[in-house]
Amino acid sequence: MTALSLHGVSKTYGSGERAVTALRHASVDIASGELLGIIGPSGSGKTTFLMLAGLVEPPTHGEIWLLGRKVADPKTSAADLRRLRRHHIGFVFQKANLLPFLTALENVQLAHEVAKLHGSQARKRACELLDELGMAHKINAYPQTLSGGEQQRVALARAIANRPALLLADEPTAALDGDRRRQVMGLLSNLARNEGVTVCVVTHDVRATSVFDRIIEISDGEIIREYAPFDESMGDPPHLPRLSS
Amino acid sequence: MILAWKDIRFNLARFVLAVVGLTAILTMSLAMNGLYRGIVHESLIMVENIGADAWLVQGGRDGPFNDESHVSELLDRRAEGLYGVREARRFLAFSFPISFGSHKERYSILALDFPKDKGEWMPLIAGRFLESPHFEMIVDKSTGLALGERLRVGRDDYVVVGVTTGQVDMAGDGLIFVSLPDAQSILNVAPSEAVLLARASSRNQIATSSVVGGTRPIMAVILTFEPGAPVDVIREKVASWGDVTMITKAEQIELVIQGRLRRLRLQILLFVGLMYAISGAIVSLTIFTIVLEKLHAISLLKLIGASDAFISIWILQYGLLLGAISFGLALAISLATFDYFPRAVILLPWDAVIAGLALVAVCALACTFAIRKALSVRAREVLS
Repeated sequence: MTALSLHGVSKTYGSGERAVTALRHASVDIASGELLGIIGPSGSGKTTFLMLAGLVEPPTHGEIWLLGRKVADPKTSAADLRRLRRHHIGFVFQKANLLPFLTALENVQLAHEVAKLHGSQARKRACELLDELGMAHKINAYPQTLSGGEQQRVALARAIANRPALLLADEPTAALDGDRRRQVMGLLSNLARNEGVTVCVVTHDVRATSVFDRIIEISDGEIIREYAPFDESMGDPPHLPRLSS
Repeated sequence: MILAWKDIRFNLARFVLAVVGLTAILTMSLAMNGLYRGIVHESLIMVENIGADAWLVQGGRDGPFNDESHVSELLDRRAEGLYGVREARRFLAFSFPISFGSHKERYSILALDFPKDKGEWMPLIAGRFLESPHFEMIVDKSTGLALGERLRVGRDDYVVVGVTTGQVDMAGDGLIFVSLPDAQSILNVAPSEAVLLARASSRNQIATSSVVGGTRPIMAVILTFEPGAPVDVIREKVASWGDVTMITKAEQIELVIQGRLRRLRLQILLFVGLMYAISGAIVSLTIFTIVLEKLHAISLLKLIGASDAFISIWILQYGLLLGAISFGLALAISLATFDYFPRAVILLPWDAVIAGLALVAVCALACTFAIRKALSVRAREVLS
């Protein structure tokens, strides 16, 4: 089943002579439970792709479909997009972006609060998530007392607290060392494999690409290639087998 | 989850500093407001407490508080013959220096028309009211004089037989009450040479009478009416005498407030307004600055789908908590310290309620501006 579809989506910032098109005619279908990697050089439009796929902004052209329903076109309001994000989409970034004045548990519960889910069930779910991510002993710790990897795990718990259909991650492992990088990518992979969550990960890290089901490469605001799963024994990404272009 | 409370708990030092600053300015505002109330109260103590329904003063004058007034010492006998007048008492008040060893202090002396007036209209905290027409005095506690203390005033020795409270003159100085004959004696004290010179000259009758003991002026006569007395009829009768004017208690209060106190009141009211305006500006600036520091957190909240109401409630709670805690502290400090000010600083409950409501309105307005700024933040800015 297709979880997310982008049909001829473009995004242009500014107008007139100052107009900059960050993403051009992007079309892609992403299946439920798929782990999709997005690669490309800096400024290629990866983050814009993520912003559109994550319903952070409406496209300038084209349509976005989520779980078989058209959810965004150029006329969609910011409030409608926000409502959809609240229930269906989770985000993880290079920086954990935790609220510094909330404990690890409260940061996860924040997602519940935003979705108007209160009570002991919500708290239980937050505790379970932190436990599953190996953070049970740090639920009352403030973000600044956590390591980068721990912060990222709390951010991940917050992102999936409301059982989103789609999880978008923008270079989630860029600030982590090798072990923690593998740990976070393992968690994302588990979410896709075991929970059926569709996961899109923007990454520069070629060592992480082996976990993806599919990789798309963006350059100059266009999707230029799609790759099959990467096998480390085959070398660097340019030698990946090409699925389509 | 009350986000504002979590935020305050985490950044407690910053919040406490903001509260301290705001509490200080609010306390100043309440004090300025209380000073205004205190000045009006002190100015009206004599007018309101002495038991006067009306005052007979020098014709064409607005005395005795707002203007000079000298009337005949015998005017009270005429006044007592008026239909509807239950009692007429002579009034005299003046300030006089009293020596204490090497230094002098000025006190306001108010005459009680003994035996009609023994001072029973004032609250006593020690001692008794006047029982003798001579050489006894009742003092306000703010004079610092103690019960039983003897002191020389003019040419005679007086003993403090009673201590009262809250009886001050327009300048806020504690009053000393003596009998009318004693007050007149004290007022007539003059060096021997001055008495001789005054007797030799009869060119200025008022000047002579104020120095020489032969004529004993008073400032006004206090009238107390029978219930249902025909005030207009009494006024017309007094007007027909030609030498005096009748001023009712309400008119006297109006004369003091709109006459002698007018500029002072306007001045203080202006300061009160300024202080409240400054308080409002500081509250607004504090809340707005705090919100500016939270723009990244706000963009994150928007990204994860927080509604405008969710973000607005956070800011509103923060602003109102800041205002409420600061106001509560300012109120507590005011209630605990205003009694120790040298002059009366009166905090009326209604003034406190209005100040509190005004602060809530200012905080809500400041939050509105801050919320507008917060809601203009875009979710994608969390990536910047």
